[in-house]
Amino acid sequence: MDRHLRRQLDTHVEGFLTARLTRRDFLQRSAALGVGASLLTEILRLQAATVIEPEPGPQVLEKIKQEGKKLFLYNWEDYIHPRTIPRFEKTFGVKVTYDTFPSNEHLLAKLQAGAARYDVIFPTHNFIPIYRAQGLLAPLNHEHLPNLQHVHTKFLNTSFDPGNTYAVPYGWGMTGIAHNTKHTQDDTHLGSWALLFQNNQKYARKLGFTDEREEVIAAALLSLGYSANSRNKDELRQAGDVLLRLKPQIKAFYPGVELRKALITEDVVVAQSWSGEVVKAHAKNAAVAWNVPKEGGTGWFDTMAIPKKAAHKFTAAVFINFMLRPDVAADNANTTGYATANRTAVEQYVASQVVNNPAIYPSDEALGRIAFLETITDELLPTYDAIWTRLLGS
Amino acid sequence: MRRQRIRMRDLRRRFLAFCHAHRGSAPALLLAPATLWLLVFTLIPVGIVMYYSFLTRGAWGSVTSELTLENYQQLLDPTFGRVLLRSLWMAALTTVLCLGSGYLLAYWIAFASGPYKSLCLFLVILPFWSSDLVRLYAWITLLADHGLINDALLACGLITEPLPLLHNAFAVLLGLVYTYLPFMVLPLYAALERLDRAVLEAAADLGATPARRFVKVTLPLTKGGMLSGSVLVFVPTLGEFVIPELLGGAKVMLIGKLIALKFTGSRHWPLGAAYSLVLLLIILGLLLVYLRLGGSQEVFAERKA
Repeated sequence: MDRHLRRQLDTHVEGFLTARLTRRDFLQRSAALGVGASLLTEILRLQAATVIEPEPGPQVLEKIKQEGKKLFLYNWEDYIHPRTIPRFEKTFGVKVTYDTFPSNEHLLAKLQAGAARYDVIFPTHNFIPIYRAQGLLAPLNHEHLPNLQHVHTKFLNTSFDPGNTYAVPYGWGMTGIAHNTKHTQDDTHLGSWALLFQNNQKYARKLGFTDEREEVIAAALLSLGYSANSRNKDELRQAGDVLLRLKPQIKAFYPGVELRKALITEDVVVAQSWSGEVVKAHAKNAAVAWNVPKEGGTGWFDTMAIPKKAAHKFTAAVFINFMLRPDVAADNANTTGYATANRTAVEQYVASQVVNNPAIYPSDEALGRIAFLETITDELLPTYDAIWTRLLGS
Repeated sequence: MRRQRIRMRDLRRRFLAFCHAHRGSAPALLLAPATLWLLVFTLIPVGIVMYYSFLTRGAWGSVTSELTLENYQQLLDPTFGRVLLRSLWMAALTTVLCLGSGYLLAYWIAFASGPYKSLCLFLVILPFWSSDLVRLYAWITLLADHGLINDALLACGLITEPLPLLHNAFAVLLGLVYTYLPFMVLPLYAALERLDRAVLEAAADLGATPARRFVKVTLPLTKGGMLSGSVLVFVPTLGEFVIPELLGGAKVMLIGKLIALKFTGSRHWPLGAAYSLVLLLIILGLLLVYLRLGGSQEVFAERKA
């Protein structure tokens, strides 16, 4: 942005701040002033960056007060903008306690144990049916979630949670291959799971995997040309064998943040990875690249839900609605490396370099190769469990 | 204030009168606090685990109250046996390495460190002041392919390829020894410090060489410290969960991880409970062996002295 434009923006934003206009007024006035469309979007982006909070209504504040002005959150690590919670605390006068969990399985186990009194949790889409079946979630009152209108319809009313009775979408991402271009530039297997599974002597002990059972098995299935969500036990058995043969070459099964670090330090040069970790690794080491393999990748979206035992259900709903606000959603999407499910945020607020990053918002062609993970049913679980236990325990 | 004091005095008198009237049950009363402590912190939790281990897994990983022995049948699973054996082996190896290196360190602190004794002891305890995780991450920084050790060796030209230091059994063992060494050093130091120097002098007067004195006098007299140190290292090592995850890259599975997997990924709490209980019984069995071997004799001998 040149300095002239910057100053123009500053003036507009200042005017915005002092006049306390609603966004619509602002749009009309800006339009009347003859501000160009591109400038308008820039202003809106900038406005997302400046902290202007709409005042919450008195009834809302009263209800929050009745609940004790407290909120307990349980989220993935590095999965929110650092200022989102302070903003919420300041606007609604709530004291937020924020904890992070390492995996969906841990989150589920904690909820099942019943002792954890979290108010908002962030489970992944394919786990929602399990929570639903065990009655661990409180139904959502959509009257408290007007900002749900901003969410992309692609993520709404899915088979995992018909009518979004229990959960609303937050961020989404993909799992594919991360590789270090310094080491893989001449590789003929680029863009294929073969890079990991068939060519492995070349990258012996330089191969990384995620530590998520469903993801690792899906990668093996895809490398064999099967569906990532295969329910065929023979295909699954083959996937297990492939992984077992590959294990001596595998450096480690990494949790997200560790995987990112290993990619940055080049301890691993080829890895199965979550897209967002590659985005963040690339910012530190430009040689880290990303692709959705030609055989396909996996996709997932995380959600926000309120546990049945939550003590601050109304405050939780207010928080979820706050998170669904396009500017807040954009804030989070700008830092986490994962895409937001919030359509308005993408259209109006998310930084252009984020929107144009194919590792965050893939092309339609790449998205076509992404299979969203299905829930592992009780019938399939022993098979998955046996493959995973044998792989790690061998 | 005054009234309250009177009430307190009254209460005390009544309590004493009660004790006097029930003199026969004095032992029970005296044991009550310890019993309560054991009940709340040991017996009830173990009881809950035991109860769960006989329950049935319901749909989607819920737990139903139907009783079954099926979970114990799954102990025959070869993976469970293999992982258990590996854990026992790793724990034994850790204990032996801790004992060897810990004895040297404790001996040096007790006998040779002179005015630096307190400082040395302080340094042994110092790591406890920081979180386990922080120290393990420090090891990752040291051991990684592009970590400090490999970078230094590469820079010196001693190696051309990074040494495989991290994410293998070696790293796990190193982490275990590092983490549990203080638990070995402290009881050993206590035993060596308590060792009567006059006994050593007498042995010297009678013509024993330093080596013979060490084998015949020092070692037998510090057996208690060695045994308690070994128990303090072996038991937590057997159930260790974090170190194999971080330093082993989740590739070297020990029993702690297997149990955790049953509770999380497998969504099978009763089976996880059964595995935990088996681990508990193994530890209990080993503790009995320890008492038989001389743990109790040591305690007894010390009391006599």
